Amino acid sequence: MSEPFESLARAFPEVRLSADAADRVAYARDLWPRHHLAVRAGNVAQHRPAGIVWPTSTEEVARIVRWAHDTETPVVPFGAGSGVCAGVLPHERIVVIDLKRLSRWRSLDTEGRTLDVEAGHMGMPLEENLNRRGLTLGHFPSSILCSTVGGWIAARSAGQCSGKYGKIEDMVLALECVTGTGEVVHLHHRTSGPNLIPLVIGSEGTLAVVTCATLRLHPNPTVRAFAGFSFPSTEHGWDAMRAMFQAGLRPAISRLYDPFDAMLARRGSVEKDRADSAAAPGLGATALRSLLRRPGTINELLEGAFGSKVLGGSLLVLIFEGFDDGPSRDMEQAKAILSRMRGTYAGEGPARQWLQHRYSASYRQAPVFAAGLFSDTMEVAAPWSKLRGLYDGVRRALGEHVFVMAHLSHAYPDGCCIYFSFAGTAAKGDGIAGLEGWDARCELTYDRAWKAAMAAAVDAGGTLAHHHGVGRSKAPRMADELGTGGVSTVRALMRAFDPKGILNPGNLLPRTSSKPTLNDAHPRTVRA
Amino acid sequence: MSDLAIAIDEPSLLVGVVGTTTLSALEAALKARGLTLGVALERASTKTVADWLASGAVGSASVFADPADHLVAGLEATLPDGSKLVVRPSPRRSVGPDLIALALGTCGRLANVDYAWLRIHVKSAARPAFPLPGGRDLDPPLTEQENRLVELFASELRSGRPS
Repeated sequence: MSEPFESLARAFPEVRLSADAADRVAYARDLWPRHHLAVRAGNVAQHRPAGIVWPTSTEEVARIVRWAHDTETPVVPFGAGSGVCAGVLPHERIVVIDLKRLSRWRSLDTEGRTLDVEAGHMGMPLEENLNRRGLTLGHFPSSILCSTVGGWIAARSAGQCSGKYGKIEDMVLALECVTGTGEVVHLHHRTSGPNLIPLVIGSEGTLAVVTCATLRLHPNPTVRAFAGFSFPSTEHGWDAMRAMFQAGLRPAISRLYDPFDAMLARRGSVEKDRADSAAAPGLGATALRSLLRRPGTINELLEGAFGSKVLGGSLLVLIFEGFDDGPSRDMEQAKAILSRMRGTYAGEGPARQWLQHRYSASYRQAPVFAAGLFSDTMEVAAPWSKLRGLYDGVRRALGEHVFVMAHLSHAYPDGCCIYFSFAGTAAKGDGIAGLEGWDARCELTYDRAWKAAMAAAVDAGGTLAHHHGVGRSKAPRMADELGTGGVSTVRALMRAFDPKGILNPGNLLPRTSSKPTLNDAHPRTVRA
Repeated sequence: MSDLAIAIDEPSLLVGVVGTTTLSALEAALKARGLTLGVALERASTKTVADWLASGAVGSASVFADPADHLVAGLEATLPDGSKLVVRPSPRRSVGPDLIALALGTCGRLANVDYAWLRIHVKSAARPAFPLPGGRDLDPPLTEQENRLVELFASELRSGRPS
């Protein structure tokens, strides 16, 4: 047990904590896909924390943070560890504060439709418990089975129904959090401002430890209307989505798949058993690895008019939900708009099938990695007027390195998020010193793809992340996103909330010190 | 900052506007194109866009009325130390704290808006409106604790420490 952690154990004999080797391995990372490559290479836990502590009350969190402040011990708040950007990347001095034992409902106001819930509450049980009372939060991230309320707030999360209910930032009425000095503060939504809640949401554990949130609820819908529409191209599809949202329609689900992704969706969004076995290491995996050595050619083929024709065009999955005849009236209005915009009605099947398998897609990563490949996702956003440039720019940038497909699943009246999914393999190793290993060469492809894609997103006027957050994976690029003024402003906020810089140090912003506690997750200089 | 006093992005239904433009001038320019800011301007029409945002955008809808829709998509602002903050327009983002909040309803204590990208509406289009959460004051007075935090931010922003 390290010295700081021994001191913590002495200071809080009543709080559950552990410096056990297995626990330290379990808390050494989140679900950043680049970690998976390290794990596959045998580097299971390079970033082990000093230990883990499990507080059960806000007061305990505050006392632990005060101790950390006094001893200048860095701490990282931890939910369920399902972040995908290396927002959690501890080192041997860091103490992880796991909030999952802080998971009570403090109060439910069924008439006013609000809930005070502690930050460690897991997503799915929260929604199921609300549903039993005829209520819903309306927040359905793909990670709902392995994420917490605090994690959603930390990452500025989006759920599948963001088109109707908004993102998590649109659901928070009040926050209780612990600043870097150990002070418990209560922040309140204020329509006319000043509203400090948006500053803490998305701050990824660098400004305060969120301990409780007051969330806005909705009556749980009893009726749904389903439809699928095919479009000649992805652009035709997003023009139709734009028209719907600007006409005032708010579908709970509107997901537009590019032709390849649409082909997969039409085949069945999850043929799970088959998918797993086909991707297992063996002849199929070898063929796939060979194919992915030439991603540019495949991408060009599939993205062009030929690909669109062969694959059957793009597919829009649409679900309205509500009460009585509301959803069917909205669907009729949507059908009228979409038909005018070259949409061809494809029946209810695609939408019903999507709903049935709505959380399955996130669990298809393991077979890809087991096959010696890698996969990841990138979610960018822009106003509608910049969407074409963003789509083409990022797709082209990624496509030089990896196989890429896309869907658009978070639309707003003024713009949309594009969600790129990609898979790649090892870069050719000839002449690259020190990169003899397969996984090291996979990392090289991975880094090249991300670096090119992030530059392309900024060049096209898009934002680097719509709902996954920044973590350490995008931190080196934050000056491109926010400008020097924005980075200075976030640093000023950090100094105000956390004067000693003990909360998740190294996360969110590019490093300033010449001797960082951690290396950049994505080095600025990527080997050519 | 754009040289244009008013720049309309019709596909995105956004307007870029210099902070010194009055709301009445903005609304007149929009009206000529069949568009509107879509807010109740009675008492605020003589205000400039910068002053209106600094004083809390009175007359605009609550975010809880239509969670998919936000009033401000991006802005350029001057911080207390004179440096510039640019938040490029985007429907949503997940890149750290939402810095737009520094300028909304803070009466210039944390940022002064030089240019803003605002949501606009086709005059004839329907506007969704959920019932607001009941039993709560959605505009409570600033607590002493929150006021102290705002002062702390302002002090840090004035310090002009480099990034």
